[in-house]
Amino acid sequence: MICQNPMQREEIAKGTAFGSIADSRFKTNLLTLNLLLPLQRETVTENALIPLVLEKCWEEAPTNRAFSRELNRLYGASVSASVSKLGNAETLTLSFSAIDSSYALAGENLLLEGARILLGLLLKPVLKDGMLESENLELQKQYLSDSIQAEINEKRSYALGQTVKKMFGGAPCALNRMGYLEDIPAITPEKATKAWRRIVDTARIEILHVGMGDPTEAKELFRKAFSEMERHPVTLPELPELSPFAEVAEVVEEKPVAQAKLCLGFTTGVNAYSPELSAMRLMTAIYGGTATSRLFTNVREKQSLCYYCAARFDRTRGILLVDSGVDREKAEQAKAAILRELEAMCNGEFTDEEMEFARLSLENSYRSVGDSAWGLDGFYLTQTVLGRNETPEMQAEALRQVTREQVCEAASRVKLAVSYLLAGGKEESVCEEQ
Amino acid sequence: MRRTVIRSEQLGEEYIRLEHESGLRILLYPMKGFRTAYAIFGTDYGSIDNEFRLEGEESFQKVPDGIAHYLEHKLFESEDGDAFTLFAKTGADANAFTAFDRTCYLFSCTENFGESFRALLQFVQHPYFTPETVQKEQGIIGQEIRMYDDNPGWQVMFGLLTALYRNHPIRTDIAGTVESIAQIDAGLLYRCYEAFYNLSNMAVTVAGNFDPDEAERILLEELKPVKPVRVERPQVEEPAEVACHEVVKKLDISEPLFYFGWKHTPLVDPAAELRAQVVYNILLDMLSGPTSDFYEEMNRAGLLNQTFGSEVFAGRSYRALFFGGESRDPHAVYKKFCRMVEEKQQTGLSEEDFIGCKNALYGRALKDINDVETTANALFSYEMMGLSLYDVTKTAASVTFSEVEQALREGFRPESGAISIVLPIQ
Repeated sequence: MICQNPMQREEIAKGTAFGSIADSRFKTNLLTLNLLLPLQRETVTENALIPLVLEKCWEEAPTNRAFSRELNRLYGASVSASVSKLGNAETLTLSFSAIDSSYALAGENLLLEGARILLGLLLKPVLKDGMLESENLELQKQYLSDSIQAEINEKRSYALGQTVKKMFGGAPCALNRMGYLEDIPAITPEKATKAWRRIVDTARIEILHVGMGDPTEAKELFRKAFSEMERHPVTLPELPELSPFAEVAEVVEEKPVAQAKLCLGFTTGVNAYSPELSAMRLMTAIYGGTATSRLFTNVREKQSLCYYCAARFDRTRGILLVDSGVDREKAEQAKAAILRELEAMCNGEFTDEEMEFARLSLENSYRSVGDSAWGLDGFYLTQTVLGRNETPEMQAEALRQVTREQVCEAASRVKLAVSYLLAGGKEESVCEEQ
Repeated sequence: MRRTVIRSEQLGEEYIRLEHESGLRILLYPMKGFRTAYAIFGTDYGSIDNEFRLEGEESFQKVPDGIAHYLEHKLFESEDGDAFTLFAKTGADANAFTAFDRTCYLFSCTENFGESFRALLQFVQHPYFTPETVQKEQGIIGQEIRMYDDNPGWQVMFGLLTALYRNHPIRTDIAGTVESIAQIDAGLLYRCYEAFYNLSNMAVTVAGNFDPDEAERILLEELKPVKPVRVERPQVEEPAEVACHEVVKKLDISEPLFYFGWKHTPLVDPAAELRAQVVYNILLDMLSGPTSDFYEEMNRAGLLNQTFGSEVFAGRSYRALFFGGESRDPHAVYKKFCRMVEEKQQTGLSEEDFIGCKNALYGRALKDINDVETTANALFSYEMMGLSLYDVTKTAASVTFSEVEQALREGFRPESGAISIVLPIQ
């Protein structure tokens, strides 16, 4: 069964669209206001900072505390800000989520209220002498700085990040999503205000609604606000391309950790637009995407080398990453086992059953997308930005057409570029029980 | 099977509760329009159950730390191989987890529900442990333990548990240690299985896209007749006083992390205990949530940021209040918090704040039954407490201001409080 794209999307102003997925299963409404911009070294830090500043308060609720009280009044509605990357572009998101008006004890129109709040946060921040208020700005600068430094706390994601950096060097898609520490001190209220105005002026804006409420009034509110402005939205950059490396780059980073993290980065030459996309997805699932995959079965279950060993394919950057947590002395053995399984994939040394299992697993996850509001939001936003009009069912259908030969062919495109190991002796942790 | 329908007039929803002759409790919550079904087969057995005796036995037996978690890993294996393969055939996504007071096996699927459900019921009722298969898991779980050794969030929370508790087994890590799991063998695994995987100690919950009649039919076919087993756990004597007031560890992190909290004695009556937890949830939000004086002041002073949060940490035989986050000066935060509580105990709370925080709790409780996964998990949790899914929203609506004020007077005894800090190595 091929379902129609359930999103009703309409251009409501220049470079600004509103999409809605009406769904009565959810007792809530989710609204996301997404600002799409090219990733650039000069702006990446400011761009990460501005959503943090904006989400805290606005003209009508001028302190974080007053704003939080307002959200409590709206039955624990939540507002959040985030930054994510998509190829060479980034998405700054302000979101609002609340229960549907039909459950509100005093019948408030919570969806319309959400639209008003998101517009207020973006367009009417608290200004002092025409500039973003400095106390909030300084607090968020500190928070951004803490967050950048805290990347080291989670070793698995840190290791993956280091591998990608080594693969792409200074290319936009490998820039740090949250920006750079050294940029932060120079962001004065004046500079931040300029950045805010630039973002509002140049971002491509995608607003999405998912939930049981009728979004018509909310859409009109957004239309009115954005059509009254003269904005200059930019064109987003193409997806990055990475050629195979002439020589594998070997990196060892020493840190005081109990467990070493091994991470292998591969080029694939396949991205979201390639005809080989479905074959690469299926190949990755057979290789290391499920609990019956070759990496899970052979590296974890048969050799007992690790707790996790998984492969993921990134269609927006055209790369494949494999990572595992291992003992340092066993890292070489694990690496050899991982590469051996890739060779097996190229040679077609996998059963029809393994291929079928992987396909069923992917189909299951595609079909599950529609069961959560955030799942639908993320799926259709990415589709829109990539200029695709596919549903999860269409992606599942495409998998069914993939042949064994195409899987082998996809595997043979996968070339090791970077081998990264985070390792080091850990001093026994000091327990000062006082 | 004995059948009841649990309804909520407030939400206009209902689900089915069945009781099998074995004592197994079954909760079925079909949810219209969803593609996914989510099923859990779990037991009232977790890492804290490390000492027990069966009816008729004289003395309690202590088993190695981490055995419940080890058993969870090993239950996936049978003579014919791995249970993951059974689910792979249907495309279902299967998993399991061990917590302090429960072990759950689960899957989610969008098609072939019946086949996957059958597989779940079969493999959990079919233990198969040999010296070889048990040995093989040492390396895998050893790496899982190492992974948590490097996890600062986990380490700071366990620091607090070891500080708060003197005797309660909640102070030991769920996965145990590399040394403790080395003592686990097939015989011990079978003994724990026989004791705790008795159907009378277990529950099945299903939410989402499935046919409850089909589920019931499969249950009747697959449930093996068993005699109830009575297990006794020793009474843990846990004093009101903490083991120590401060625990400090060092890890490779950027800024100090902290967890501070207070240990409580949970109430025996489930409805009263749930009510207490709801009351404390509202109180914690009032004292330290984003609308509080405390958070505002600490945030403006640069001592707390949005990583700060609080929770009522509770389960079978334990309850504590937790506050955690990152700060350049955790001691200053802790001191200021204690002083603020003392002041509020004198001056009282604001009724307006109470209404705001209670409203927010109602909305959040409603959001919790918005998808199949959280619904199935919540069904399981409340059943284990002896309650229904709808009891929270009902309780939340009837909590009074004076109950919250009383909780403020009782919940923060100095002898029951402690702080755990993880400092950067450099």
